[in-house]
Parts: sequence; C-alpha cells; structure tokens
Amino acid sequence: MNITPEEAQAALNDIQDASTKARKVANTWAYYMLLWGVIWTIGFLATQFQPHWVTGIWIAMVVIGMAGSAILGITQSGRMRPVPGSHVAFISSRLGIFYGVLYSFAILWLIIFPLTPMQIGILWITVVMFGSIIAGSLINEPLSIIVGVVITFMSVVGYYLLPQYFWIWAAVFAGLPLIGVSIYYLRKQ
Amino acid sequence: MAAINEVIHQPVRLRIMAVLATLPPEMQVTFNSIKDTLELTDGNLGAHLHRLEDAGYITITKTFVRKKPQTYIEITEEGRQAFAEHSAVLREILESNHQIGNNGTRDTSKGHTS
Repeated sequence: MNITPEEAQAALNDIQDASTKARKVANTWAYYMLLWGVIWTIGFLATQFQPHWVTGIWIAMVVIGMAGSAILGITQSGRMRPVPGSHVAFISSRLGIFYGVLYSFAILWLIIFPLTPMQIGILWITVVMFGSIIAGSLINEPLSIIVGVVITFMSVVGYYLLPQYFWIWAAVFAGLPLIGVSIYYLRKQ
Repeated sequence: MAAINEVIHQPVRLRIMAVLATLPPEMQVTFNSIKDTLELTDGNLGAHLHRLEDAGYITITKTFVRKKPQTYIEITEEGRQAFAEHSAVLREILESNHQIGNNGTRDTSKGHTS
C-alpha cells in the first residue's frame, strides 16, 4: 500500500481531531467540575456582596447545580459505561457509594451543629476537596489530588487570615481554579 | 518499517479507532455516541464497526438499558496495539520525509510503500 507523506499527515490530523472529540465525551467529570466551579464562583461572590441573602443565594445555586449534575449524569449514561464486572466498574460503584456517604454525613453535620455561613462555606469546600483527593487516589489522577490539596490549603488560609473577605477569597481560590482546571482538560489536545 | 494497516487506514475506520483508543481502558462507548461524535449515519457506522469487529479490533455488545436496546463498543487489546502500530507507521513516514527534505533530496510524489 502506497502512502505519501501528505496522506500520512492527513491521517494523523484525522486521528488528532477524532481523539480531541472523544476526550470531550470521555471527560464528563470536567463538565461537572466546570459547572460547580461556575456555581461556587457566582455563589461566593454574591454572598460577599449580598451577605443577607446568603440562604436564598445558596438554595438557588444548589438547585441549579443539582439540576445541571442530573442532566450531565443522564447524558453521560447515554454515551459510555465501564465494562460490566471490570475493575473500573467496581471502582465507579464504590466511588458512587463513597460520595453518597460523604455528602450525607456533611448534611448531617450541618443539621447537628449550629454553624455560621462562613463555617458552612469552609465545611463544604473541604468536604468536596476531601472527596477530590480520595477519588484522585482511587482512579490514579494526580491532578485531582493536587486540586484538592491546593484549594483546601488556600481556603483555610483565607478563612483564618482574611475572614472579612472570605467569600471573595473562596471565589478566587476555590471556584476559579475548578473552572481553570476543567477548561484545561477540555481544551487539552 | 512496519506495514500500513489497511483495515484501520480507511478514513472512517481510522477515526472510529482513534475515538475508541482515546477512551480509558475498560470503558465502552455507545453506538449513538460514536455516530454523533464522528457525524456518521447508522448504516455507514454499522458497516465499518462490523469490519473492525471481524478483524478482532473491537467488541460489540448489544443489551437493553431500561427496556431500550443499546449497543456498546469497546476496543480490544489487539485493536489498541494495531492502532498504536499504525499511528507509529504514519509518524515514521512523516519523519523520514522530513529527513529526506533536510538532506535536500525530497521527493514526495512516489509515496512510501509498506
């Protein structure tokens, strides 16, 4: 079979193009990260400038986030799945259970303990980042671990050192990094 | 230089294999997802998938999800290996052409026979 360099280049371009499209399908978790990065950023900024509306702001943000996550989940299930009985399927099911338990306990703590809005904010950030670190360890994704550690560290720094600007700090060091990392993954060639 | 893989080199099959090889191991993708991603028709995609399945490069699983028929496609280890080798051959052709070009004796009209 004769292949000219031009044909080889065209074939490699086709591979590159198809791979980029496939990555966008496969990296559904990056869309979740983008969605919640946007919600966190908007919610934290709104809370900074309208602190009296904190409950209403976060009810709206969580409802939008849950609805968006449900749509992403339905879309994802129509696109791909782990091979039944495989190691990936086992890890996926365990991760689902882990996140369910983690968020249930976080909600339980919110009900049991009387927390200020800022304490609730740092609790949610650290709970979600705890999940990110554990998930990154299980699926062998170093960036997930790094994001979890850095955002936790920066959020705790802002919580103790700049409490009066905590929400804007959280928008910059917790919300925006999620948006940045997700866009990086979605644009990666 | 290894041979050009004539099963994979066909443009539609090349793009199908690129999509499947990009997915993480132990993941299956739906027929409709490949169809939408590569903007193919049902008939065209189906024919090329069967050609790849006959070659042992993919497996096709038909099942029901919430009482609706669903077709899942997965690349085999043999398919992953064949695609990697084919991509390497394409890159070798380009690199050898660059080397010839750098030596001032480039002639791309003849092509490379594998």
